[in-house]
Amino acid sequence: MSQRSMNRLRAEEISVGYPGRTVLDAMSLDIPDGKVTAIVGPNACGKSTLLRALARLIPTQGGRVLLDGRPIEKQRSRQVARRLAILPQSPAAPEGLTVLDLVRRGRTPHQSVLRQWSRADAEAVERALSLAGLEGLSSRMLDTLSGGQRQRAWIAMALAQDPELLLLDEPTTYLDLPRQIELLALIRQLNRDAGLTVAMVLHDVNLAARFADHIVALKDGKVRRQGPPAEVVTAETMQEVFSLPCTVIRDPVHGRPHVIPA
Amino acid sequence: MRVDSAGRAPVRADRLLDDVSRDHARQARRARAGRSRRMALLASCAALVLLSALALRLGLRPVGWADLAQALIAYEPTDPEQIVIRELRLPRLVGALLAGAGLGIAGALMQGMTRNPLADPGLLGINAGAAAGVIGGTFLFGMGAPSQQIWLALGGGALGAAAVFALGGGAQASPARLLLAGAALSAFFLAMVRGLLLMSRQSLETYRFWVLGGFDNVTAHTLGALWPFFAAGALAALAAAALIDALALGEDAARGLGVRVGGARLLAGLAIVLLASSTVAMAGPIAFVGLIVPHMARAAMRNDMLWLVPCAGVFGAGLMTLAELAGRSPLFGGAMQAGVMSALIGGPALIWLARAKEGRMS
Repeated sequence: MSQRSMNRLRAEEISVGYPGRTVLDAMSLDIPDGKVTAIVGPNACGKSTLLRALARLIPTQGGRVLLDGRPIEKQRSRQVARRLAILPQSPAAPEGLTVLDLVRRGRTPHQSVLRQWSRADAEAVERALSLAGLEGLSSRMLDTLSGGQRQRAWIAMALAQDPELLLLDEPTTYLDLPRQIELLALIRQLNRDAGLTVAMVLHDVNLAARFADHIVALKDGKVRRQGPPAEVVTAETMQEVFSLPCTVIRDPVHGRPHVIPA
Repeated sequence: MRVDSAGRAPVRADRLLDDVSRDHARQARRARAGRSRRMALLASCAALVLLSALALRLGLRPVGWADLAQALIAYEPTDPEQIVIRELRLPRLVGALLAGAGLGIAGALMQGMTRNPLADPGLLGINAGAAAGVIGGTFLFGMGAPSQQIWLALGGGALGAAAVFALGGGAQASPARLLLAGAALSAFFLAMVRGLLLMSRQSLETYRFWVLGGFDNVTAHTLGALWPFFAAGALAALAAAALIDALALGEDAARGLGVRVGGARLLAGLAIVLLASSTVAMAGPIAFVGLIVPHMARAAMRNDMLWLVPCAGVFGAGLMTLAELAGRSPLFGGAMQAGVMSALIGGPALIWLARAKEGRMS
């Protein structure tokens, strides 16, 4: 296979676990370039672990994660952070920070002791704020924001890294439905307009079917199915992966598959 | 404009206009906030210079501005007034400035790294280690001279902190484990010190003198020996500032930003140890400054290490100098220890800050 046809982020036979428990066993997976990928599966199936391994937040015991064709743990973490941003699950900021303070920290991988704040940093922060729709809120204290706004501030921090790949671990947790839709629409817009490759862990299969181009269904640390929503979100797969008896219909508005539990 | 049956569009337009004007106000406020931090820092620097000049002039023997300027620019070693300034007050002032700045910065790093607003460099076992070093050296090797004490305290403090880091789990140390290890080792060191004090009268004399500390015995020699440690500590603190800011977002977020978590903690720890051990070596254990100053700095600078580090340095230097100056005033008999005075000034300031914050939150 030539270098060119390979996807930028892929896992090759990775095994990940904690002492006494193997979570992922020799799993291989490609994150398709330029698409929105949703990773779904029942609780404790290893989806967060997979995402964290892809983002080099936890070490792999076997196999390797490749970013741009090279093992990710062999690359300098700062260099990785300029291409790949990760938003951990329910991140917490210390009190006394404004939105701008938070978003500016996204520039950490672009700075060093010798190279402090620059014009490029300021521009990237402005761009990130505007992409996340937060221009008017940048001087607000984080703890005065609504949940949806706060999550967008974290996304803006990830965008300030100027990444080409964005990984998100359950970005919609603790948000009400309108805010979930708003956030996923924002993520898809970032993919369409800014060309960002996105991979995210999602709980809700219907939302995944609605907003993702590519769905990866995990169970017991293994990939059971992957492909476009129409191929993955079927009654058969739902039964196999979630043990959920259901009917899958075509959503009359968006034409995506929609799960109706029996 | 499309208006739906519920007439929602006009409302939205109003809201939009409202939002736009609010945006402008916010942007202006943000620009002001950025400027105001810089202005606050500059103003504090100016106040510190003024305070320093005052500290040089005032004392049992007040000195005029002309003599002060003369002593600093063109020193005349025969003029008694200038001798007082150069030989007594200048080393004392520089000592207070360095100690205050060192403790302030070390405290800011401590509180940022452990995410604990009550953390203080003393909790890392540095003060107890330094005391153990001084008393152990005196007892075992009869090293009681002030010039030897500096190195005993510096070595003891650094060793104490290293032991705390090792016990706390090294590069994987969690803040909670560090604080526990610090508390345990401090108790151990102090028990050792007490044991030695009971056994040896000479150690007791040395200890009594050392533990009161202060800046009366700071000489040009002391400063010459210790300033490289302060400088290295300040540089390490500035280098660690951005990393601590990233770590404050959680370990996963920090790793995602490309920060090596263990390395960042080690660098910050190195800065804390350098600054706090040099301070305790120079002036004995000074409590409270490292605890209070970061709170004052945060009130002025928000929770942003790159601003907090320089600000805590300036505020700490100011508080220490003020305490030193007040301690020498006739009001306190002219000889109150700076460490006692800094607690007397800082304690009420901390209570006031805590109350002001509570008021804001409710």
